[in-house]
Amino acid sequence: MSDKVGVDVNTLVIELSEVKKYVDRLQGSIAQLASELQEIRLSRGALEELSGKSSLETLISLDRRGHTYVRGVISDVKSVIAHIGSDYYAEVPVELAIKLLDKKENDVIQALRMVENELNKALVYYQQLQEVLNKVLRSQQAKST
Amino acid sequence: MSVTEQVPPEVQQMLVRYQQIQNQLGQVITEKNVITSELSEVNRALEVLNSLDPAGVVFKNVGHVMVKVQRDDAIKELNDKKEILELRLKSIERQEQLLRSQLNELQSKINEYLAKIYGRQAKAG
Repeated sequence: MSDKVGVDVNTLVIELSEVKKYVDRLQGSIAQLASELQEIRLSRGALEELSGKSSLETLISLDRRGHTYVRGVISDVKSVIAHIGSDYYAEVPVELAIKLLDKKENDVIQALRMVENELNKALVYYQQLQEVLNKVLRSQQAKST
Repeated sequence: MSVTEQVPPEVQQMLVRYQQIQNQLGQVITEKNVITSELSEVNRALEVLNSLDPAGVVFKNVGHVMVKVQRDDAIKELNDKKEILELRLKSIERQEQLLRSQLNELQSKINEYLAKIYGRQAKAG
């Protein structure tokens, strides 16, 4: 940016704080997508592990942290109820459930890349704004002394 | 123009308008992305449902309850949803196009205006 541009400190500070909020939102989205990716991979790992087995003795957790379990028996792991999109779930063969998870994983990875690119751009813009602000403040300081 | 000088009020107004349109465009693009992603999810669900046996086991998530539904009813509901989403997508794409052309028009007006001002200043200087 050249010195020929009119710059208002207040506008710069407001813009800087807006960009900061945007960066925070993008970082939140990245954390959410990364956690979604982990869950998808966990689900696929479990399916691959259980696939084809019958009459499995299991422990079923009553909570998400594993404080207490009840005994259970899985009678058939040839098919599972999988989320197929929107609000719907369907009983599908394990192979199809894995394919659906793979598609979801690809979508999440793509979204993650997009948000990461956007974050990089926002961070570069944030840095540029900071530099302009510092320059303006320095020039004002020099004038007042 | 030095760093302490102000942008002329006419240009300032145009810049404010430019920022407003840019914000609107951002919102429209976000909405378009949401619709596109919903649409691809509906298409994916339809693809799986159509590949299932008509007597296949299908559940619908209603709040915290999974309700068993007929495959054909699910297909019908998703097709209706798809139709609505496609209409919304068309409308939002029209809005996006309009905002983009307004933005381009304003951008060239601002450039023209600034070129005039700086041209005059250069001659005077």
